[in-house]
Amino acid sequence: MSKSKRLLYILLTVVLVFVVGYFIFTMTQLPSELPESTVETAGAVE
Amino acid sequence: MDYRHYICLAITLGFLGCGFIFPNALPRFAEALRDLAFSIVYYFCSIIDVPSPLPVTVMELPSWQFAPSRFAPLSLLPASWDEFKAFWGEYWCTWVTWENVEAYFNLWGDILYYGSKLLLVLMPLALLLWLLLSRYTGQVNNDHGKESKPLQRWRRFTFKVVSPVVQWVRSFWDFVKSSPYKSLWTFLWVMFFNIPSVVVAFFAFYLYFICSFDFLSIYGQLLKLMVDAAPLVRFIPVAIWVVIGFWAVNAICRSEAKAKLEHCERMNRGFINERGILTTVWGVMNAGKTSMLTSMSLSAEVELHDMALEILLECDVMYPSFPWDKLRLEIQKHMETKELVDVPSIRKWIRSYCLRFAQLRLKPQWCKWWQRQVKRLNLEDPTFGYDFEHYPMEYNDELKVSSIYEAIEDYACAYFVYTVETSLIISNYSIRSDAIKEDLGNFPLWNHDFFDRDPRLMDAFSRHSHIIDYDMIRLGEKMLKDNPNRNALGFGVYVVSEIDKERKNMLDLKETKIKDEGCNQRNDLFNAGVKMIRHAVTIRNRCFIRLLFDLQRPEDWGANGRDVGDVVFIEDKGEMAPVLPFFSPFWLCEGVFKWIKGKYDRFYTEYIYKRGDGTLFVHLLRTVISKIDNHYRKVNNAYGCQVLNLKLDSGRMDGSGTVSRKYYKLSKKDYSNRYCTDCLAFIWEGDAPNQISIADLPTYADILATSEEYALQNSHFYNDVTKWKAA
Repeated sequence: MSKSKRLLYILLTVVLVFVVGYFIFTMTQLPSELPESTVETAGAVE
Repeated sequence: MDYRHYICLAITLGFLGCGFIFPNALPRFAEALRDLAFSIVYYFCSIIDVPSPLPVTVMELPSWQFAPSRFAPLSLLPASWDEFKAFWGEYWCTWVTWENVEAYFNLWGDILYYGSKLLLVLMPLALLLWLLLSRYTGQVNNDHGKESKPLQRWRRFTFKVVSPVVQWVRSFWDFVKSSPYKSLWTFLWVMFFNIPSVVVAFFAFYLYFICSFDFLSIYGQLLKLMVDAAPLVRFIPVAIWVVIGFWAVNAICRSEAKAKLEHCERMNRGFINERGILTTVWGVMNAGKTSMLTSMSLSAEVELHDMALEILLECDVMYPSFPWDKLRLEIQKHMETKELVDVPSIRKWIRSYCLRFAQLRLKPQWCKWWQRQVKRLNLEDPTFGYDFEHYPMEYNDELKVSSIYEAIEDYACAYFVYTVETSLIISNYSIRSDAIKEDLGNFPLWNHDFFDRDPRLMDAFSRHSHIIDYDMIRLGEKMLKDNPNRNALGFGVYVVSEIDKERKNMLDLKETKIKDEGCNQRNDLFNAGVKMIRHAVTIRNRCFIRLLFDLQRPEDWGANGRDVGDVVFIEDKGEMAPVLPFFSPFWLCEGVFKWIKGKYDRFYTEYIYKRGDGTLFVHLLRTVISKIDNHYRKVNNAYGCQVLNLKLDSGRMDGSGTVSRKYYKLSKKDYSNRYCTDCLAFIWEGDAPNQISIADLPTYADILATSEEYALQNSHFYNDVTKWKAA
């Protein structure tokens, strides 16, 4: 495989890991509990 | 008793002791069984539209336990569906904020910070390594066969300690695999990790869901899964999970690569099916003509088997009540006694049965008598046991009405092609094929998976192609008088490399006459045979013959033969590279390894140039590099794919209708000891063994050759020049 194609694959993998990592990181930033009013609003919308 | 039993018993007791860490495995399983029982009752009550007397408990979170679990449930999801909806909104609000992005970049900054700290530790080690390697290449000696004392101690240690331990561990593992202990240990740990509970809970929920379509309860099942999976996830250390994760990604990548290889192989088969009966491949030397020809022949062989199977299934569906299994057994029996050797003999055999049946049908009372005699005396039944009085004997497909015996004839011929256990390739060089016929005594199935073969078992499932006898294809003079093979032309893939050398063109044959005694390229009517060959074996309008030839110059083979098929020119070929997906860790790891190997090759070349002895460090380095190199070589060979850019033209080569196509050479399929690249090396075998080495050949004294030196060339040109000068 040519060097440029290999570098492209590695770069794409790094970008993929970066993007997926952001989604997972955002999950860890959420508070462990939300205020009850927010939960009730969500239930009322349903 | 074998002492290994005691070891296994001790291990079993240890595992049972681990059960105290998982006190709720059994209660959880019992609870899952209860949920399943209640769901089954609910399911049957729903069918008869009666309220269930028992509550449906599959939606409840697990509660049965002997003791509080030390493994907290995984907190990936909020505790309820309403909370999930609230968190869902909160998640996306957080996702788009700049503060969150900043925090993420800060996290990467921290990772890079700790990574750079690690580099700081490693860099002096790298310097130390470089100094060490320089020390090894600093000395010069010719101590051939000598080894340093540490290396000798290491070898003794590996032979006397490490090897016996490794062998003992391997034999112990084989002992465990062949004993009930493996199943027992697997059962224990599967129970500890709640896996049976998860499976039973799935079936319990499935029976509830298909009656209620309660989509909201799916969230509760995910929460239950978080609780059940907690012992598995939390017990296994993070480091092991990282290894498992790496292995899982690798497995996904390999599975994707295998799917891609199979797709490329299907593309190749599509390419071959588009071609006619005859295909000629040409290209410059080293273009890969013969390897492409070999690859095509392997795929064409699979195609013949698939075409035969298609016919078998077609005929089966036309007369579903016909005892096709009896016909297959009869064919098998006659093949073993060599009464059926080719397609014409099968046609003759079936037609004789057809005739016999037609005669019996004329006399219905004799028909019944004959059926009784067949059963009583176990005679050959021309109907193969078909109840022709109650089932149809004809088939109307809106094109024509055909008799059952036409279908039987086609079925028998196709079954013969399908079931004959030999290579279907007939060639002028040896081609190895490895199709495996799996037969349980009923209907055989062919395994043509090129990518799943273990090279260590190659001898067990390999067969080689048949030696082509050109007299089979010659319609005129034969090279061998009364050749027993002269009528043996039948189904198969006929492969001829360098057909131009075999057949020649009009210019080469201008001194050869049709009326010459003996067989020559003019009077053997080989080209006529090629033109008529599609009539040799046709079953159910499908031709079971393929001709694949290659040559270096199409003009060197007369147009009379070449014009009959397609000509494929290999324009260029790409690089052989594995078809692993872009996210595979292979690309980075192999890239890094290649860089390291480059450095190692330079060091090692210097080392063996300067030193004749062996040292421990270099020995260990070589061993490690060898193992990693072997791994990457295996990956490259297993998943390698090379694209050939082809130009297709008709045999007339007049440029009309030239099209471009691609063909995929797959390393695992095409380079797995399939053929010998120098299959025609015998041409260069002299009448006596050579005694002259390249060093013995005379050399030029100076940059300008002398007349005496030119004379040593035995050149036609030099002889001509000498004559001109003398004239």
